[in-house]
Amino acid sequence: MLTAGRRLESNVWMQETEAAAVARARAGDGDAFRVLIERNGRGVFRLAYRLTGNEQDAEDVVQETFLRAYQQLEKYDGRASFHTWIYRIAANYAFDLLRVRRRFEHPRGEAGQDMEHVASRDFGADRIVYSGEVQDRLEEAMGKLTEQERTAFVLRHFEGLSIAEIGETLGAGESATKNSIFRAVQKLRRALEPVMGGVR
Amino acid sequence: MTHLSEEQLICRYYGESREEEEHLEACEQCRSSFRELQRALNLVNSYSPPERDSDYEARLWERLQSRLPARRQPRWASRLTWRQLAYGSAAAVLLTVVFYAGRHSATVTAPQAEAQVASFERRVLVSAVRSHLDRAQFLLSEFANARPPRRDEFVQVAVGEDEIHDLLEANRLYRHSAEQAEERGLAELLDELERLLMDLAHMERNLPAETVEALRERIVTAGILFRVRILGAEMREREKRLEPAAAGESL
Repeated sequence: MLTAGRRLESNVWMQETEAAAVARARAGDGDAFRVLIERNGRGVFRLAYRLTGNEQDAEDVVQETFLRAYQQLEKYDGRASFHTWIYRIAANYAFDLLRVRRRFEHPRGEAGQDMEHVASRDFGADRIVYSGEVQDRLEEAMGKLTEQERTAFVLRHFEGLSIAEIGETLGAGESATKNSIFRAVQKLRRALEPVMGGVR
Repeated sequence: MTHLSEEQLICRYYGESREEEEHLEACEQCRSSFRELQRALNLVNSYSPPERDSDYEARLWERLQSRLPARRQPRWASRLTWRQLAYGSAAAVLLTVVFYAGRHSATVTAPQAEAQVASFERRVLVSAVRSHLDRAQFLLSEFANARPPRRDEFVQVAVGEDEIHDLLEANRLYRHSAEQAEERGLAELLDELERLLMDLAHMERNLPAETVEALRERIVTAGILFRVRILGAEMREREKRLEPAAAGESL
């Protein structure tokens, strides 16, 4: 175990750790919350962008996420890491945002039809380089996933959350969560088929 | 022979199930289907958000600061000094690492309020280390599962630079903690992981076949992925034991 002297050294270092920052922020220290923003802000933005597909919405999600986190710090019980907890808040908010957007802005037909459209769209070989084409197809294909498929897929594929954690975030059971991921993967594969020849 | 369904292959890709392993070993057709799935999903990794400026976090804080409501301090917090809170943090880290190594510390003789802070932070930290190992496992699996490249072939690294840097930064934090607590097993694994992450962070995005093979050698053959999996599972067990309902049982 550590000596008293080494504990003091450890204290200095620990002041900057996330766990200490959570405890300090819960105790009302605003600067501690800044540490949490600095540690997680960029990651929350990446998640929010992958969920919403545009920068403005992603920035809105980031701000709302940290505001909600600040208001709900007392509810954070430490069962999940702070990283996972705040990502769930972001995913929840983005999920709601997408549902509202879809309802009012993008009435559309069957998801399968949309994906066929994506898969058959002519991207013109001279229009963009290969990586740009992949990015375009992914952007469009992700946009055609349902809110639940997109959220479940992003949380599993990019963030590595467990099926149980994703189900909790979405308010869905294990089976429904897995099916959402299956459908998302199937749709994305179909959308990428035309460019897969460029991948060795 | 009944072949694996796409759902089973997807489960295998995300590590949800290992039941398919035996069939994959024996069936070339399913191995080929799995490689196709890997290629597609690895390509999805290139779906990268636009980069943020280096002062992104500072600007975010500026925007948020004025909108944060005033917090009412809990009664116990108003009685604690900052030094006491910091002591609680350090104690929590030490305990986390001790629990991780399976050495159960005898008693914590801090005042009750400090014990509350330490108990809370202990759960946070166990979860944080477990989550870190999960993320590391996911990243290492990307390399381990990649199709072996042909000679003279260049392979595009699908994992984003930001993700590697994030992981590296967090890894330093936990390694430092493990070293402070003189927990050699954990510190050694994190040290090895850190050297690997550092190499990955400084590599070109397009790697020649021999570099990819060398990486796979370090990750798979040298057993780092295996050890990360095992320790991640151990952490998950400890996490369960530290849940509030179980608190006080075996600490």
